[in-house]
Amino acid sequence: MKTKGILIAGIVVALMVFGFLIYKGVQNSAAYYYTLAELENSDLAGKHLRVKGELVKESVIWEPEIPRLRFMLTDGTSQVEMVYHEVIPDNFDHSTELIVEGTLGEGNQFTVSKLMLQCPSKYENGNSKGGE
Amino acid sequence: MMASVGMIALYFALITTIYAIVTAYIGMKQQQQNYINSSRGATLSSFLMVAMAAFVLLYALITSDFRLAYVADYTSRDLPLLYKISAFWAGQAGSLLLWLLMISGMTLIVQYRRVYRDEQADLKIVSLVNLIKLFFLFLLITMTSPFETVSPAPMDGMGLNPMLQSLGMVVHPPILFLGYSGFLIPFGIVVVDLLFKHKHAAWGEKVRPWVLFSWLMLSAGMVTGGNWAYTELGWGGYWAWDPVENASLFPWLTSTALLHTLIMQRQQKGMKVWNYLLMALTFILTIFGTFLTRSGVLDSVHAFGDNQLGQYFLALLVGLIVFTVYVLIARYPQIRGSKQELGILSREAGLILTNILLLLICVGVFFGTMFPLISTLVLGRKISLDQVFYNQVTIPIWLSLAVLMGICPVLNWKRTEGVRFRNMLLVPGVVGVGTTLLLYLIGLHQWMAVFSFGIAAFVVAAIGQDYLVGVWRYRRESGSCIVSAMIRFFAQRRQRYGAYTVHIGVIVILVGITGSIFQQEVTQTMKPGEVLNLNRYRLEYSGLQPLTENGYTHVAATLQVYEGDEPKGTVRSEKVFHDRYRQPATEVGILSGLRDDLYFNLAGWDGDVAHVQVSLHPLTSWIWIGSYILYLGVLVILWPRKRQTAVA
Repeated sequence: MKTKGILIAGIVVALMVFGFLIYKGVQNSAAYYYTLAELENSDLAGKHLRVKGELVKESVIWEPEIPRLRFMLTDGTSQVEMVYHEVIPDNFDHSTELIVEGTLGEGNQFTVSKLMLQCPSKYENGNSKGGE
Repeated sequence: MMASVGMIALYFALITTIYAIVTAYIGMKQQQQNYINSSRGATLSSFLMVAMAAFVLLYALITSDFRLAYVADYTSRDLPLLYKISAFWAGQAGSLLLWLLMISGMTLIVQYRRVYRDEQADLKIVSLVNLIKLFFLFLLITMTSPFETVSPAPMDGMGLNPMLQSLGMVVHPPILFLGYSGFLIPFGIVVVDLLFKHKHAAWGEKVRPWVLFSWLMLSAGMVTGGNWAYTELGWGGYWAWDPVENASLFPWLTSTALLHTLIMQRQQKGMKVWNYLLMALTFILTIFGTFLTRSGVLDSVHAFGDNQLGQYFLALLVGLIVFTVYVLIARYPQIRGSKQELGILSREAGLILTNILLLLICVGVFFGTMFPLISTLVLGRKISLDQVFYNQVTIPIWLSLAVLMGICPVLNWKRTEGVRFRNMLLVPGVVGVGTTLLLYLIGLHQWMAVFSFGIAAFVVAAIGQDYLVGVWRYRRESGSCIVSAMIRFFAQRRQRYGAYTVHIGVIVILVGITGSIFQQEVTQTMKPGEVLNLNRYRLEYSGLQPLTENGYTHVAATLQVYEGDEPKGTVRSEKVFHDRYRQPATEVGILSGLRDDLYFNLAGWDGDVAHVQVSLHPLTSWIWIGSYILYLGVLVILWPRKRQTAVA
């Protein structure tokens, strides 16, 4: 009986800790999906965001000495300027659809912390590790 | 011509598979040996037909037969042979065919090993696998055939994406597939024994080698994937908590849990219901992982994009879940265990706690992976979580698991005397706490890292103590010399010390992962002759070397590495351009050592000026070393037992 009590108490505590970890984890890492149109028209400064858009090919400026990558993302009507302070990925020019995570700063410039590429169907598994 | 041979082989495989299922059914129903033999023959033919189809595709890839759309899509004439072969699994259709080939091969093992012949279990298991084979054959014939043709055949193919032209692409996918597909067989064994109420149903014994093998492959698949991402793809890391990566982690976690509670089942300590559920869950999660990668419901860097295959895998998934629940409800009385006392300080409790922690990680990672869908449903806005979430949620649990690895050797079945528990934990405890304090005192103030290293020292000390105390006793009793005692003691308790070897491997991996806390990075623009300083290293840039050969243009930069004044070697990073592709392929340069890896990425250049990014990854090579130890441990466990010589 005593054993059972200790066990149940242990499990309850463990689950509470686990729940707390999940809660804090969500709070600290949530990236909210917004559309480019929403970025243009709302005050989202400081919030961790995730946006999908099409790369405007002519807008890509790659300054390796900084390093800084600047480009525009569009959904057809809205355009937002993106800045990424990492090395340009190999298949960047090749991508059309991009997913970015980061925050919106002054002048509606979006600072990208994470860049995800999706490739056109010509290479079905363009950026993948092959076939899982 | 080739294409039709392949296609016909697939059709024949379909027919023979159906035939095998039907004759197995009739044969068992009427107990007619000729039907049974015929069914076994059909399963063999079905394997041969699948193998034939695979051979045709392979042959077409090697000979660059561009009449096949698949060959034209993924290879080109100038592609090195190795990559022509690996193009087999570069696309959807080929990877499904590979999977089919693997499970077909596994049916033969079940069919021709005598252990499965009791009560004709082999026929039933193989029939279940044959049903799954029908699913793959259906997809391959109707949805995504590797034998589609193009007319007229192009002069040259489109080639393999440069990012996939690497050794990682050759080894990682097939190994991971073996892990994924391998869980089907033990799932079949369990389900068949339960459904048909076999009298000799000791499925705990029978599934173990399969689960271990698949677990080994899954582990190796994840490690090779991580290594590929780190050394060749230049992703800068080995694990990104991406949905596709997580998908392979789910079945790994549940099968790891299963391996632990299987120990209890083999010791007649119940857990049958639990193990059945873990077995089913593991297999279902492999299908779920496939569904995630094929359906495009979540964004992933490994994206396959949307396609219709997802819905078929979803249907299979739902079917399997219903089936699993049905078997459980129908056979619950049969497998329900009797109530057993559970001591807090017992090995049983330790194993169950291991299970709970592993499943908590699984639940946490699953929650995080699915959060974009969950938040859409609950909050109306899609929200994704990144590594911050996964690290916060799982690191405390991983570390708790590591602590358990140190405590478990001390625990006895049923009950451990408090005194023994304290005595045996004394030395490891002192080693662990001592390491922690020492590291803190010499200036390591990242508490997470200090803890992690302390726990690692504790576990190694605990396992080492367990082994050495045992060897000591063995030597006294047998009177043999110390070396032979060490070997023979290990060999006699191969299962136990094989498992501890795996644990040591995991701990070494833990140390390697912990090293990532101390990662450093510099980005700099360098003229020839200029020097960059990073931690204890000095790197000197000597200029760019462009080179053109075989249609490839390489632009390479080399850095001379010095530690103090002592030359340590060079790191070389290059970008490779191919006439065919617009995108370059970056080869990162890594100078690997036990203490740290120097990781050099050539970001770009202007004339002779290079823009370089250099990072320091402490202890990363420990991850690869730890994985070898882990493989070794599993092989020790799996090594066939010597035939028992009859003792009079």
